[in-house]
Amino acid sequence: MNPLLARLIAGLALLLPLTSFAADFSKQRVISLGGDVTEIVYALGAGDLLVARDTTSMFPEIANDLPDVGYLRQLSLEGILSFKPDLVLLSDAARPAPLAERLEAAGIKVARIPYQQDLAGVDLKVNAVAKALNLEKESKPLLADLAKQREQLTQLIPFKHLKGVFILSHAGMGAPMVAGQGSSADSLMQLAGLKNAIQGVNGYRPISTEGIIAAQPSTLILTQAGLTALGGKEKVWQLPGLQQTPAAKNKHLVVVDDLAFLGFGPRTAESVLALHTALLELHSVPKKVNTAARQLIP
Amino acid sequence: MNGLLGLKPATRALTLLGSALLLALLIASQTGTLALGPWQLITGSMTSYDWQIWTAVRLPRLFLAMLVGSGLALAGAAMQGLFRNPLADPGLLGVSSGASLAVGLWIVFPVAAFLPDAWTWQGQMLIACVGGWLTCWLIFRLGKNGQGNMLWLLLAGLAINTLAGAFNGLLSYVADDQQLRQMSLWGMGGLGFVRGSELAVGALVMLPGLFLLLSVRKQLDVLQLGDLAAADSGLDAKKLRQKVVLGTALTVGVSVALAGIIGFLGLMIPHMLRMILGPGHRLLLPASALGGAILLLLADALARTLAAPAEIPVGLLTSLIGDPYFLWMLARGRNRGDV
Repeated sequence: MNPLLARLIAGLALLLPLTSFAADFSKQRVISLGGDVTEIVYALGAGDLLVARDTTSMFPEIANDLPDVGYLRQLSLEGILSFKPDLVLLSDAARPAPLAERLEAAGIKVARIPYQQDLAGVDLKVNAVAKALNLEKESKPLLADLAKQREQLTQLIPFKHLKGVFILSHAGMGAPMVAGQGSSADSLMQLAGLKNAIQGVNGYRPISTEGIIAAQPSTLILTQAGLTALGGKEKVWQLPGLQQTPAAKNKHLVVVDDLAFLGFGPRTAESVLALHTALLELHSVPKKVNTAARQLIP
Repeated sequence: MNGLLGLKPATRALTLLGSALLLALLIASQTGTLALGPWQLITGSMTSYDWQIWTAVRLPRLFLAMLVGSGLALAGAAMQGLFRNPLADPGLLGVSSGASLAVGLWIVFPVAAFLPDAWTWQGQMLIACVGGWLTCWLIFRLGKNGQGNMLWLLLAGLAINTLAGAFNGLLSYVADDQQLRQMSLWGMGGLGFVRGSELAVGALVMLPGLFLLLSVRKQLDVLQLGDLAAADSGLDAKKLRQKVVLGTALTVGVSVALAGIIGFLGLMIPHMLRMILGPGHRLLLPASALGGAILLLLADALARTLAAPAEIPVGLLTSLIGDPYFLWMLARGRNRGDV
């Protein structure tokens, strides 16, 4: 080989390690704490900046490969510090309360993401994450999509005679609970045009057999984790009181994704639209049909 | 009896325990998700970032473990001496249940919303301490201020503990999903978020309690002879009870405020040491304090490493280790006919 060319290649090879140095320099080390926060980070295309996450950050699938610094309400300070992050995206739902203060005292930049559990809150979260990561431009398409979905939601025709009940259950929980007034599931059901069969109960409460029978729900809504925790479809219909309800007689069950439905992240509006469509299909009403025919739903 | 190094057995035991404590401290200070500890200090490979973490996070945690561990075990040993019953533990005086109730109220009815942000965390600690002390005082008053025999104190403790538990249950029902999780996680204990300043205040309140309990150990030995014999020997049983209750309230109140509920230290450590060192409280009390510090240091080191980078609540670990030990002890006692 030409000696000059050889020397040139050798010289360039020596410079190779510097490229990794340059890459590390420009790449921030970010930790995202909160399932909704992590979803937004990936939705903005910044997933490769993440070096760690918390237990509730389950979406998308690749997020599960990141190391887990603990449950959102019981985070480990030393665990977070061991990753030497440049930025920590901290949901306001994170506990213990002094975490942000301790991290800032250690010289780490902390961006607090609001924890507002309604659709307007999703925009706030997206804006906060985009601002912290300097991705305000990239957030515009995402915000536009979310606005379009919210628009579609306002145009949904509510079901006149359908009543639903949302059952919350996860592994390790004692009795399953139903969603009453004021709970996040209740507000989502209303957005999907479904009336809550449970009236006069605040928040999530354990089911009483008589209460379920009196409610006479036409549809049962469960999350995927809830279905698994209760042992599958057959076990669900055997829950006390359900057997005397129209939902059990017609086996009308809708299963939603936990994080998508209850997380109030980028997929929530979409999940509510999907719930509406599922209800239409369950009750065999084609989407494009005149409103008079719709009133026939029992 | 001059054995090893020509020391008396009591001094020998305490020296051994003291050395074990230093060893445990060394091990615990080196473990954790972060690679920093005395080894890095000695070899000089600590960056300024590491040093900041070492002083602000790791060191307070180690001292907290020693403080809380020794406090709980010492209170346990003193309680077992006072009640003349090896099943007694500091919880009988209601400090833990009172603190749980107070923290439950704090979480479910967030008075903290009206206070500046910085007060949420410290407010919780303060309310836990005050709640524990109020409950203990209530039990002491109902228990006839330590007069008569221990039965009144025991019954008052039982009644108030049950009541506090019932109110706590009511709070659990009223709380929403997140508050419920908050309450149960606090109840599992954790040493990770205490700052140096909070630790200093806690130590200031707890150390007098520790010394108070240590000061009555000879009197506890006299008490074991029975009420009549002890009175004949000139022991003021009422004053002794007051001192032990006050000491327990101080140590356990601060421990629960700083670290949540950590179980089995008060029960387990005095038992283990009694089997090795005999029932004399003169040795058992200081030995329990040292033993408790060692155990909590090691349990906390485990809590930090078993699920790294996440943390297991340390109260869970001490209960997971303690329960099988307790069952084993019961099985042994059944076979031997004693407890």
